[in-house]
Amino acid sequence: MKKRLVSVLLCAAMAAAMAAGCGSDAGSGSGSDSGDAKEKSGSSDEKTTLTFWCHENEPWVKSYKEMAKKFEDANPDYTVEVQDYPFKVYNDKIQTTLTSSTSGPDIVAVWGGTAPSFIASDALAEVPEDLVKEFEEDYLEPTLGIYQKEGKYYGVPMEFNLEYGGMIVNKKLFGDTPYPTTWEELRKVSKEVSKKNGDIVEMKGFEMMDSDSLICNYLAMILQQGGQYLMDDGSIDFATPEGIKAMEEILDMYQNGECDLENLTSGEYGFNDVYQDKGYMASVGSWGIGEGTDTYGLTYGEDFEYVPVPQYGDEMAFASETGWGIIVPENGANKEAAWEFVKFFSEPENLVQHNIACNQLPPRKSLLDSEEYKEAMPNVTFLLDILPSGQWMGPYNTSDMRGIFNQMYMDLCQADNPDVKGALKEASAQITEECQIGYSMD
Amino acid sequence: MCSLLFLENGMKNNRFVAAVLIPGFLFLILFSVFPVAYGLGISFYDYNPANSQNPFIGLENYRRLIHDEVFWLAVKNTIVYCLAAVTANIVITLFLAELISVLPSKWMKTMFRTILFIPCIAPMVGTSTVWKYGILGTDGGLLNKIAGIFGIAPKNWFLTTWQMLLLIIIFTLWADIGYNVVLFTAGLEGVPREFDEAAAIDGAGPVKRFLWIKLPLIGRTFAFVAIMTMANYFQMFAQFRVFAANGGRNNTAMVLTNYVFKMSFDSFDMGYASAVAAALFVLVFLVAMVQNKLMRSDWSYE
Repeated sequence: MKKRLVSVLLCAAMAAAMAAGCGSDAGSGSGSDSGDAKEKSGSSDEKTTLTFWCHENEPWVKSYKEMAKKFEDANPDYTVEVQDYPFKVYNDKIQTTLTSSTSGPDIVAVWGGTAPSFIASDALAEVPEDLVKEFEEDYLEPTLGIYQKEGKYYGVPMEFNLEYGGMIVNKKLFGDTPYPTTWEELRKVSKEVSKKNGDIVEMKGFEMMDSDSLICNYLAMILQQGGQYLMDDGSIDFATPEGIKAMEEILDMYQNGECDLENLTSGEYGFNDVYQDKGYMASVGSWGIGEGTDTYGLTYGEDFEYVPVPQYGDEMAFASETGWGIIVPENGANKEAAWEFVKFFSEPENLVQHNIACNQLPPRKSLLDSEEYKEAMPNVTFLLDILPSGQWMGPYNTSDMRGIFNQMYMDLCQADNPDVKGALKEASAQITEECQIGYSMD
Repeated sequence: MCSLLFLENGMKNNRFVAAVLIPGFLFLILFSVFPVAYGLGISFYDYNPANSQNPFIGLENYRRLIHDEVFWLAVKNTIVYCLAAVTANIVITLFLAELISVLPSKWMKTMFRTILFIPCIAPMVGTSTVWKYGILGTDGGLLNKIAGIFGIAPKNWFLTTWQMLLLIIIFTLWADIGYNVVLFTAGLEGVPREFDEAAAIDGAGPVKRFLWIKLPLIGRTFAFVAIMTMANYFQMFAQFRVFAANGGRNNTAMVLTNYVFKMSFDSFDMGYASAVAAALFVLVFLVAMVQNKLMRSDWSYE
């Protein structure tokens, strides 16, 4: 009898422990997930709480929180809770929450390159018509590209993502030597200063061999010669005369020992070399300026400056992938309120403050002449002039596209007799087949 | 009468044991068996959890698998990696275990076992990252610095092909030998000294005594270590993801686990990833069965 009682109690205790472990709040370890979001996205003290997800980036998170506060002040019925996550796990979290049957966050900041995988599903709410009207009237085309599906929009751009157009220059290394203003001058300086040792270039001239800069500079070089890589049927063809010429130029930079492939293999950015006094110039978007001041503690104007990249061809042109934007999940508990926040965020007077705080370029045409922006961001004002010359990179998964392109380039660099045309043809076919977004934009 | 009482007590014991084991079995079914079955089910669908529609496509994922060059490359790399790494692991750990077992004092044995075991308890992702940047790093990595001492120009190891796989094997050995050293040391110390002494009296040297006396007598330990290490190495993932997230140059360091992850979370093609995972399961199962049959040890020294 006693033994039976003991066995029953033991069994019950183990079953209870298992049930407790299975039934515990899934958010207890991560802090905030769809479970927590659901709890919080309800009414509390008669206020609706909106949950805003973003990735971990100190100035950006600070800006989001300030925007949230501003929205709360203007709309006392709402509170906005900003939750940030490390970028490495951010997309996985978004993917998980979009598939949750319970409601997740109300608003999510998303990188344009990863948006297609979310847009392809039916997991996102459509942008309201009044916002779409603003898109057509005031937003620059490259900022909208990726957020479209079958003629509708599923995301609202927060910035113009530009990885081409400017370069960080090491002022200390240049000394009194003027910065190059033409492509020929740039190559001349690059050849003179670079020092190669084995597979490493210990002092780099013009650094553009990283995962962002390589393809963006290459596409700009094609377009600036009057060429085009996006065909009418939507396919990619790099093996045009302009494409071959541009690739031969970039290949020459490697073969000449002006730069190495270290940043391509390590996934680091070229501007790190400039900030560490291992390079003279590095092509990077304006966001790279903040890395110099915040991460390296350098002083703009003394240690480094941000200046235009000399144009390769006759006419200014470049391709840009869609940058960061905001999406509203279909399974959000407060979609209407979420769109109110998004509209508030996108108003020019609010958006420009966010762009300034995050060192971003504005996506709206009306902000290209913004005195507030120019005054706050004098170092990147020259980029505002070239924004209208940009085209959208294309209906492609640009992350995968980069992967194929960069691998092709590394193979060309390692080959004894590189077949540039063949390699470009192969890469074009592979990108067209594997990276094209599986739905129509129109 | 006595036999009836005995039988009744036996049945009551069985019921007690069964009752105590139920929660454990439920846990196993829920968190081990069910996910495996669910994963297999997903492999028959064009599955992306973010999509509202995930159509049933039958064996289409498996047909795609058969024609997928990267998959077969990953199979080849996985097998090569496992054979090379497991063989090297067993040889090295046996050697180290024998060295440790002949040390004169207990504290020295404990010290060396501890030193060798420390990398086993360090998180694999952390140590992989340290190796990636600190040892294999192109600029400033230890390997290139050592090469520089001998006048060899620095090399970008991440542009290499088979060399990257070799480096990953070396890292794996460094990170993992401690565990098997402990097991083999315990096995060797369990061998009765009389056999070793008798062989020594008969004139056998240390190498012969190890190969012909000790090694056969730790047959069961050897079989356990070989099977567990092989099964473990087939599922190695962290170091491949850190060193060569995209499979390295021309996919020369792509293994099945990394390919499953890439398909799932880079391409969001979880149906196909599940098919690849099913293939990995079959491969590990076959290898384990073969090993089990080859390494059956029917005798012992007791």
